[in-house]
Amino acid sequence: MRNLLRMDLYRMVRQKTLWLFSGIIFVMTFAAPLLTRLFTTLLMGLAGEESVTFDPIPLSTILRAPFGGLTSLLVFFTVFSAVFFYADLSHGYIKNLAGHFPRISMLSVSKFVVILLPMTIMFFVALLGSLLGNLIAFGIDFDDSIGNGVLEFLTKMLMAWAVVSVVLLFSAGIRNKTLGIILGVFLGAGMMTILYVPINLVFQKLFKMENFFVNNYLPDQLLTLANMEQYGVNLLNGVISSVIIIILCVALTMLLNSKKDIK
Amino acid sequence: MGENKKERSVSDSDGAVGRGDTMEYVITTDKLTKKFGKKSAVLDVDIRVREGEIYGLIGRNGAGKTTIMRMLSGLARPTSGSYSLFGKSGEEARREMRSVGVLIESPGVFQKMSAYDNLKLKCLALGVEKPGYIEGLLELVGLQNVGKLAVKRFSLGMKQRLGIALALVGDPRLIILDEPINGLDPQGIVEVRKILAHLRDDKKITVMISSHILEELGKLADSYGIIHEGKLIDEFTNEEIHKRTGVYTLIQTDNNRKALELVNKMGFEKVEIDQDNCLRIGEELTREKDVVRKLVENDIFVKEVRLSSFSLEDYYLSVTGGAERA
Repeated sequence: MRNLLRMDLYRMVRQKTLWLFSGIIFVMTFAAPLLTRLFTTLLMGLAGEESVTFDPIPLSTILRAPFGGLTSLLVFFTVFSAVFFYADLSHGYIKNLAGHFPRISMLSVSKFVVILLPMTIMFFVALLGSLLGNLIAFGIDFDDSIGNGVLEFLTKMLMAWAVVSVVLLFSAGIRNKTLGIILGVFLGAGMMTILYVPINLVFQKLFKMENFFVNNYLPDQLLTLANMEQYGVNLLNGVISSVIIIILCVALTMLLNSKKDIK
Repeated sequence: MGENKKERSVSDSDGAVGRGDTMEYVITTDKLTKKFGKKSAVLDVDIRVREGEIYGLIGRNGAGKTTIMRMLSGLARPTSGSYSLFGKSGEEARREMRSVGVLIESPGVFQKMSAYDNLKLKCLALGVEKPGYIEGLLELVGLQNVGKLAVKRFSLGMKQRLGIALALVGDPRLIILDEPINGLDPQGIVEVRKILAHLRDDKKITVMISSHILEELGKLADSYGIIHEGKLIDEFTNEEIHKRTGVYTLIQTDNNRKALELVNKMGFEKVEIDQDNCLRIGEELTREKDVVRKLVENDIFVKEVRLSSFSLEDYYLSVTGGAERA
């Protein structure tokens, strides 16, 4: 496994798209607060306000939402993951390796572990962009909830990892790159709400669970919340559901890999 | 072309290797079968590949060659039957695949990465860390000057050679090459042939190679297996093919059909019109003059009479029914 991790890391850091996507994320998260301030000032000016004051942004707020209001930037990460997971298959490189490993599923597991690197890079790049942008635009307030902010930041990283475990299942398990990318786009952009609304209705009407919303338990939805606690969602929901989804998806991927021939 | 080998031993049903006066078999299969739905792509195949030889798997497109190689490479699971590698079967055979290098169909490479990086990836995966190792492989396959170039800029022949280099990562004792000369120009074919001969003769690597370019395979392989419609219909060495097939007589006429009937009536049994539209009599003629006289008397113009020996292609066509028969 150690050797597979080294192989995947070697290829990972040579992916130009990793650095390109990270650069885009940085630029957008850095620019967002600056543009917000600019447009707010302009609009207030048009409304007749002579001067506008802005309060510094609490650091915990930035930590809870490293992508700011642009959580759909996670699409870069999910799509990158789908392509990375499937690359061995699409290029046929897996033919060079499969016979050497009695359990071919380890090739997929290795990639799932290595994807933590771009995830970490993209999250910290987003955080850095957001910090710098907010620092310049509004100033930063080192509030008392920094600890909770860090916890939520780490929980959101775990949830992002859970989201790409679903992408792994479709791209490397079911071996459908197109489906993996489409799912990556939907999950990364938080667009699966379309699917969850009828599910919520079923629970509310059929099972009489009036206050049940599946969105409160699914990582791709929780990632869109700027502040989970403010929405009354326990961080623990995110952690538990993420762990369950990761275990399920990785196990299913391994099972599917063990059943299929390499084409 | 390698040392002469003794008669083969018959391996037992779980593929145990013969020892002492018998061959060392690197690959043995026992009723190896692969089905896709109801269709049998490979059916009850028993192959024996000796250590240190080049084994040529012959068959037309769709015969089952690639499927057999996929199973032996660990890329596909047999539906039934078994195989052994280096005398080991079952899970142990699976572990022995670490000593097997493969090139199945087209080379599996990352096009945007360099040849060096493609080799580096596999070296990392297998834990190979010898200094100069990758450079040595590139030199072996003649890519030492283009190692840093992106593979997408390679010609087909260069990609095939890179595929062979990838198969050699980890110093395998056996390499399985599926149609490695497909699509190559004549120079590329010669280069690959030289590489494979070097691997067998100097590095003592066993090679299993498939091709439907029989003339080329005939220059390289020591043993052959003919696959037809998923079944192994014959297995033989270079020496055995001459014993089995002998010589034959070719007669070129302007009316082969009529000539065929006449020659048949003269008592010759193995008579047919071959792919080149020549009358072929499966033996050396002692009554050549009588045959020619008979044809001429029946207003058949005889253009040429010559003696020939069976080529690999001739033998393959004869056992697979590729030529028109009397």
